[in-house]
Amino acid sequence: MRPRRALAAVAVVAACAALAAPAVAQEPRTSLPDIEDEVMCPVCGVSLELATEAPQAEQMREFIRDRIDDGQSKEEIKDALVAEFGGEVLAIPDDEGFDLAAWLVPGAAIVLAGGAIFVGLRRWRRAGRRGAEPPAEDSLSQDEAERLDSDLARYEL
Amino acid sequence: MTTKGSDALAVGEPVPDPELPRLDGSGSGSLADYRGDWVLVNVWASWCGPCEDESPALQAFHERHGGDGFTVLGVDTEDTTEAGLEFVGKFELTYPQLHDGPGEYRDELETTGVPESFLVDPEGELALHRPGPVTQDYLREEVEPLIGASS
Repeated sequence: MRPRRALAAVAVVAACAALAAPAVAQEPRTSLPDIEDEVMCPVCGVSLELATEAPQAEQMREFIRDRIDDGQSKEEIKDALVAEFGGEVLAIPDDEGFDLAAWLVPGAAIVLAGGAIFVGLRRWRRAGRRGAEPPAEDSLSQDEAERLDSDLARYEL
Repeated sequence: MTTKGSDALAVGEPVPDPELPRLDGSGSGSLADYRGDWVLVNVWASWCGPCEDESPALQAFHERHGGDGFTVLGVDTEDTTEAGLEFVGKFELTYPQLHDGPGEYRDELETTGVPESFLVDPEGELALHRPGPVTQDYLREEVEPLIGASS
């Protein structure tokens, strides 16, 4: 019976491997256009996808293509570019460290500006309502009312 | 040539000498390592056509005067290591090479493009500045008299 058990174990392992293989194969492979818009051509000062004819850009594309052919992931290729050219080669800032500020500051500015507009509008509406209300009837003192009546009588209005 | 920057170092000014990785991956080096010698710092990139044109003249000049109180020091800028090494192999350059991938040293030198060369005196100060490719005539007529050599 032992050989049968061993055979069964081998069969189970083989089945597991067969199931796992497609999962590995299905991992999406990156492409040059997928990376081009996320890195800069340092000499050209524009993203790699816009640097169509610069010699340095063509060299960077070759660098990326070689790594795609080697099966490297997008992140691995971007890391390799950073190792060669420094962090400034990334067109999209990283989401950690100092670069995180590039994401947080605009967001915070939008929230603050929205809050300021909201508060301003509320104050404006309240002021508008107060201005539209008719004056209270008892807003004049007795003396003022008598004086107003006498003035109106004088001018026969 | 490509253009970048607006000002250049003046003759007599100290030349920046930061530590940079060696292009061949064997640690790091600096212009300061050659203090006491004349150094022709040549900033180049493999994607630069004029850099190809001047390389044979630089190599020949280094073969003639290198080691005698003088060296050419290549600085491969804004270039991949692979492409830089391929360039060095193609032109059989034997003088030391540093790698300035991010182009920060190029910014410090305030170059106007590549190639560009800086003759640095034994005290580390700029003696001669050459924007654009060097030629055999330039090296013989301008550099040789300063480094006290003769062909």
